[in-house]
Amino acid sequence: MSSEISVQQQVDRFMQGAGDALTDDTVARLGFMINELLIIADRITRNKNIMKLLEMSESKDFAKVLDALGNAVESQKNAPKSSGIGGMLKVMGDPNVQNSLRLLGSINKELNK
Amino acid sequence: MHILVVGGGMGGTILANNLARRLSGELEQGSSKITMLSATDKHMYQPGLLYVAVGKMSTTELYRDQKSLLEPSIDFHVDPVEKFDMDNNSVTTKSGKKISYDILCIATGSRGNAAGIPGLAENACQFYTEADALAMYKKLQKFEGGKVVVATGVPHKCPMSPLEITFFLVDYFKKRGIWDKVDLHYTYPIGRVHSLEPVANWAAPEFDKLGITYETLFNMKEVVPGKVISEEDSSAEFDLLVTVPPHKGQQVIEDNELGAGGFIPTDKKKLNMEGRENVFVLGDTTNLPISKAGSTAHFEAEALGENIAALVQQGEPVREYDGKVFCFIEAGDGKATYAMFDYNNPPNPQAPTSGLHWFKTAYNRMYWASARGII
Ligand SMILES: Cc1cc2nc3c(=O)[nH]c(=O)nc-3n(C[C@H](O)[C@H](O)[C@H](O)COP(=O)(O)OP(=O)(O)OC[C@H]3O[C@@H](n4cnc5c(N)ncnc54)[C@H](O)[C@@H]3O)c2cc1C
Repeated sequence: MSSEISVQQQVDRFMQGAGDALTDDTVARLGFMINELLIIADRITRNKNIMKLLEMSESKDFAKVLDALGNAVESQKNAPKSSGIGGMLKVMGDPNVQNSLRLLGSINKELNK
Repeated sequence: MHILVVGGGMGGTILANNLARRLSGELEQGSSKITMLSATDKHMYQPGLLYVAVGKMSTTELYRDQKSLLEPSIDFHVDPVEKFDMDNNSVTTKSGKKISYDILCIATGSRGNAAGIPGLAENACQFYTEADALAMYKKLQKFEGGKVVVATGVPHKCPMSPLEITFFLVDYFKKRGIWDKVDLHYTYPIGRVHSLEPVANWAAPEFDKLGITYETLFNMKEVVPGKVISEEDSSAEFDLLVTVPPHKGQQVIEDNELGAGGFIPTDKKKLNMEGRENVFVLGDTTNLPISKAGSTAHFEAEALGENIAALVQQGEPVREYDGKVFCFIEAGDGKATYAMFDYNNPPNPQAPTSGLHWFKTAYNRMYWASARGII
């Protein structure tokens, strides 16, 4: 007799294991999650704007945006706290922030095409 | 080309989404338009009611906003149709609007009609509306044992529900530890325990194994407290009566005299209303002698979606509905089986398995993706 487990035996073992591990609640939650994921995936793939954003995410420009944004966040984390309009103007003058805003503007323009 | 879909339930929603995807170019250019008129802004997953009745699902899980299930290109309005003027290709809605169409699709569904049998509504538990399913659950919770009778009217939607509720009742009573105090008696209107012979051949031995007694050729005539009397002059005494009530089509179909009992005469393959080339009917609203089930509405919607899109794009339909239906059958004890059939092939249900029960349990939560036309 072959020592290999037959496909049927494997299926039986899988079902037995799944039966021990799964409750109706677990299966229901899994079903719920799959449903939500499918709907999100469908929305993303059918939404032209999100598709454009995904295409852009592969471009070098997008990497620059993320880089610039990262730098801007980093420089503001270490900057002394300043509040009010004066503080905001100072932040806006930072070259990292300006670069990021420019690139964010171009993403926005792309999405609204 | 203006396509008007009347009814935002299973059939109408799947059809409208299917068409919106197929005709996305035409909708974007404005050469076609899809409008949906429905009676409510909520979409109910009706098969969940069976589970609510035995405490296996909560009512909050049954609903989603109808708008959230539709492709954004579909113009959706909650404004039920009151008058169909098919000679002039228009409908009039409750708010008084007159809407013209080139193609009309009717999917207004069906409704339980317990009132058609004297004493049934007053004396039986039902699970075909949210209120009835909740009331049934409350009544079950107070039940401590005795004679339970399941009685079914014709026609009814969901062909498997008389069997499923019977198996679920066994589970429920076992879980409560009162199964040994219950006599469960199943009745059915024709000469076997299910309308589909192979399903009846599978179910009867399952009943025998569980000690469920049954009586066939039992058509409810009247119900009095504690007793259901049949047209065939027999009767069954009960402490608890559970019914799958007889069904009718919607009032609007009857009022407009579109078909006897509210069911519209429909071509079994083309799915157009008899005598009307630009009016299509799907789901429970047809008078077709096939199951009134969500899966019927789903398969019909897919065939119609392809055909109506082809009509718009090339002036000719491309396929016919083959009568396909797929119904899960919850068999109790954490197991299920299924029946799949079409106009030419009868079902062949196999022994129930846990895997199929999990599939159905998961599908109950995945229905929304199905309504959107994703699965
Ligand atoms: C308890 C229960 C269990 C079930 N179990 C199953 C199952 O396991 N498997 C299965 O396949 N099927 C099952 N079904 C059957 C399934 O739910 C129906 O067959 C299916 O919903 C029919 O789809 P439909 O589009 O024809 O009608 P519906 O889904 O009922 O939709 C009708 C729509 O028409 C709208 N409407 C009504 N009047 C008007 C009007 N005048 N103008 C505009 N709109 C209007 C309503 O608001 C609704 O949106 C079950 C049903 C119940 C109640």
